[in-house]
Amino acid sequence: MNTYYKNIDKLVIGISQQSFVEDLLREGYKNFFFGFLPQEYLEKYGTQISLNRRYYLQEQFTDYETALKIIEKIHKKDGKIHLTLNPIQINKTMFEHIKTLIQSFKDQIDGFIISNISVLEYLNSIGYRNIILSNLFGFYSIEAVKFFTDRFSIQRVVLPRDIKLSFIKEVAKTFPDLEIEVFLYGDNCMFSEAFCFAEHGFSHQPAPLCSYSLNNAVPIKKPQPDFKFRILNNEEDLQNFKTEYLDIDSLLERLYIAYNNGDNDKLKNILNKIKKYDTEYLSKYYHKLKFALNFLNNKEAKEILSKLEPKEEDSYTQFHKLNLSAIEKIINELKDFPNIFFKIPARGRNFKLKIADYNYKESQYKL
Amino acid sequence: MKLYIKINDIQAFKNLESLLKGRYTLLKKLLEKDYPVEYRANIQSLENLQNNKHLFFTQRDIRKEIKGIYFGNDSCEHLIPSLEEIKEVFEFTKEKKLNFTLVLPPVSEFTIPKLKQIFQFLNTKNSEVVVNDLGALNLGLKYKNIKLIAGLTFSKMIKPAFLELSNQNQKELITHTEVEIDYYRQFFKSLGISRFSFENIDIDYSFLNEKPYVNVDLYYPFIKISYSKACNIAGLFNNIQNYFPVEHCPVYCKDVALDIKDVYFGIFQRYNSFYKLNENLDLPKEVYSKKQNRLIWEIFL
Repeated sequence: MNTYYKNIDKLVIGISQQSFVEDLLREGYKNFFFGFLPQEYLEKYGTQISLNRRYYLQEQFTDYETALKIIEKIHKKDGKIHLTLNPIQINKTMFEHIKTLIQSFKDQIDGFIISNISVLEYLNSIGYRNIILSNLFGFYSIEAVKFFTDRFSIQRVVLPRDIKLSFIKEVAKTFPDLEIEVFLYGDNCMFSEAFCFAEHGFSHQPAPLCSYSLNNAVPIKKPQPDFKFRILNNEEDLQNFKTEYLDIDSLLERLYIAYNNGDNDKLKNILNKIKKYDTEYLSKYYHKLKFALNFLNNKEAKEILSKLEPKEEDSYTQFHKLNLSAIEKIINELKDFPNIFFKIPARGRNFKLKIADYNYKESQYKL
Repeated sequence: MKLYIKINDIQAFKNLESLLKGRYTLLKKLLEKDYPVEYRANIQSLENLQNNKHLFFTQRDIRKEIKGIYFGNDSCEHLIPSLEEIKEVFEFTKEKKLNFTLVLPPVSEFTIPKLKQIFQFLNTKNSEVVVNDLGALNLGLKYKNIKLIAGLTFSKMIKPAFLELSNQNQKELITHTEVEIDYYRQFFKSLGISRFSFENIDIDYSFLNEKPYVNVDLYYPFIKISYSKACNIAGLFNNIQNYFPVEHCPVYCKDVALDIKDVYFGIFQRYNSFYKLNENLDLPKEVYSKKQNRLIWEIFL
């Protein structure tokens, strides 16, 4: 058993039909969740417009009898299991399928994880109370949590990935009788999951939008709303309004090249150019410049560096929880809150491999 | 339907007069691919609106049909206008006898105090506010004179960034939103909300004929695909990908934007959000034939 995961009771693990649930139960893990796509739904709509927030077949249960057997095994070991019914988009058709799943599973499982007000209203109407609200509701403020606690009886809320540890604690303290679930490890997607509407799971899309955009984005000067004024009133040449590509790194790149080639004259030239920039402007590139100039470690570089101040706040940057030390820190910070649970979204993935041998690169972020 | 304009920030507001100018023959060179998409969107959308006056049941120049201003950036909470800016635009709308509506992005805990100040002011003006998250919604409900509008995040739909869906069943699914479910409309009606926001994409609006009835705000011509609290534009200046500016942000996005190399997909990033463009104005009759529905023309992104 991985020594970082001391609070096994508080771990909530996503499973799929391929998961080794018996192994997990044997090791003492007790809380699980799963997704289900009925065959008739799969045949007509595929996995990409899912009834939950996962889009690949290996992440789903598709056979009702298999699901029931797993549920029975978990209950025999005094474990709990919830069904995720949390699509990002819902409509009448999907709602009917979700209602059918609710009726099929409500007496078998320990609760539903939902992301739509329609489903919440429906569960309320049939007197069902074991409700977990998905992070897809976007709980980024206390008011957002209060929106539901003021109106409904809710068992638990799942907080988004991209929030501060201090906010998690604030929610846990403000709602001591409400269970709070936080992502113990996340992924590298920059989008806020509650507000990402891009397609997922299609084999012929070039990549998920998040990674595609990071690899293919080109900085440009932002067009300004005074363009018509300048053209019509000032009669500026239309050529001036073409898309202007920015090469933020070019001076720095040339610096590195000159350094690597031992071209001291060029190096001096570039540093003199940098010196002429307004300090206010240079400070916007503080981290990049600091890195480059420290690297050079010469008199001109030090002179430039001494005048710079970071312009941005020395702010906390959200952890991606991509390494064991980040995960350990989260557990340590939050373990004394009795109402906090830790979510491990491992459906369709080898959970044991993940927790046993974390080999992502060191997180760049402070907690 | 009625025509409203959406102004994202005070810079666009200060250039309102010029942004509404036509001169299509002079400006049409800006429609070419070497020019930013914002210019094209502004010029072409104005031209399209002029050619689709039937949507507003008018023969006049459509600029004479503008009924109000939606003010605010619905992408990022770091770009919410200041109270002074809101007051300035509000006073302008009063002077011109236009409706005023504040548009909010999804907000986090640290923005709530700012929102309280803004709501306190707007509450004295019987104003409208478009909310895009449950926190702002819950807060807004405490101000009895503010009329809330459910923003785009309350009519969530999958908006393919890369591809046209070939599976007709899937395509059918994504053209229907939660707003068509009567539980949903009823719930919002109980909160006093009966206006929902949509974008200019293929949506089945047959629910408009069902009780409880709702009204439509249709945003034109930009389609927002995804938002992020993590900002890769801020990250450009910070040597870290996916930088999270938490309580304060230097808002580099006012000077820098991102285009996506492969223009085939037509995706571009402004602020923390990814967009596509749809200038086509082939609107369903059930939307434009109702006077209470609004076309929200975003004159500049």
